[in-house]
Amino acid sequence: MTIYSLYILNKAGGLIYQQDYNPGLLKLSANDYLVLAGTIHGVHAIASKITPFSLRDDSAAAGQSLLNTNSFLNHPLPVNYTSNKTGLNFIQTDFFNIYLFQSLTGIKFILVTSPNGVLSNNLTNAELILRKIYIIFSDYVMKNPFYNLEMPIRCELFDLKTTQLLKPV
Amino acid sequence: MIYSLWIFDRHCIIQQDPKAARPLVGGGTVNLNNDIDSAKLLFGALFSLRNIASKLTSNVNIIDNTSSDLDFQKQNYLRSFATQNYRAHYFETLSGLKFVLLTDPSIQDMQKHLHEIYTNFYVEYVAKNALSPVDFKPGELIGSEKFINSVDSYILSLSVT
Repeated sequence: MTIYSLYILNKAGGLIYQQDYNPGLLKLSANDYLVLAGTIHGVHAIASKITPFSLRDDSAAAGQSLLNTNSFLNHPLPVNYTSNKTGLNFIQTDFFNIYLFQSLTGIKFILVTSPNGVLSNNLTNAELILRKIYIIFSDYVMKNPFYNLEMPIRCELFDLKTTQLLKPV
Repeated sequence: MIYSLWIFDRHCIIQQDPKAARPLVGGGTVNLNNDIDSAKLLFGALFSLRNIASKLTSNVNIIDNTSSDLDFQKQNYLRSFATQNYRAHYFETLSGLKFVLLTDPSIQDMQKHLHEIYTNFYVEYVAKNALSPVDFKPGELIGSEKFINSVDSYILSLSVT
């Protein structure tokens, strides 16, 4: 799995970090990246709204029927569909995959990778990388006293650490 | 587990498969009327993602990735998107018809089944049907019972259900 780029969105859907690590994607204008970030932010919100009726666990009956279905025995119960974890997880296209991770504080980490099919181990792989990025983000952005919340990230150490993680030596 | 099948034409919805489908419900805190609009929400989400897919790639880098030399195959197509609770598989025909299947997130690739539904059922029972309108009016659904029944039985026969 090659990592093409990383985007970080603040909780309002604004793009606060954009970096390409490996060639593979088109370069867009700064404005287009903002539009792209906003679109993903919107679709993320919409995606949880279109959760199929039978999966919504706010009605007790739906939860009961899920427990009784065989196919759900080996699945964990769905997370409350309004929680911020139920938005987009991944997007699969012919030429790249997008994996998303939203922190509890609403910051979205978006990873664009090469398409290797969304195999389950690939998914966990991408999730792992996203979590590592979140750790780097906490260490080198949030602990940086000169960083203004919700503003674009300009921290050299963060650039360095993410490049070390995402770019093959 | 398969939740529902949606077919959109160039404009918006034409058909929601009635038997295999439980109604999609939006809802939530913002706007209770979202219930009615879940078809539009789904269409909007897919439309935006499709645009992202084509925007981020060019023909140049696609030539590197595939050996195909057919022009229309050089475009990047959206295949699916997923949330924690469900996964939407997407297939678009050259005529702009969009087939969407909502399934459990663990189900891998349903493209070929959607293609099957298009070639075997849609083309046979809707496109070749002289009484079926060429362009569906807003709100109009596919009425062909033969189509609905065969799609239903096809989807219910898939081993993933």
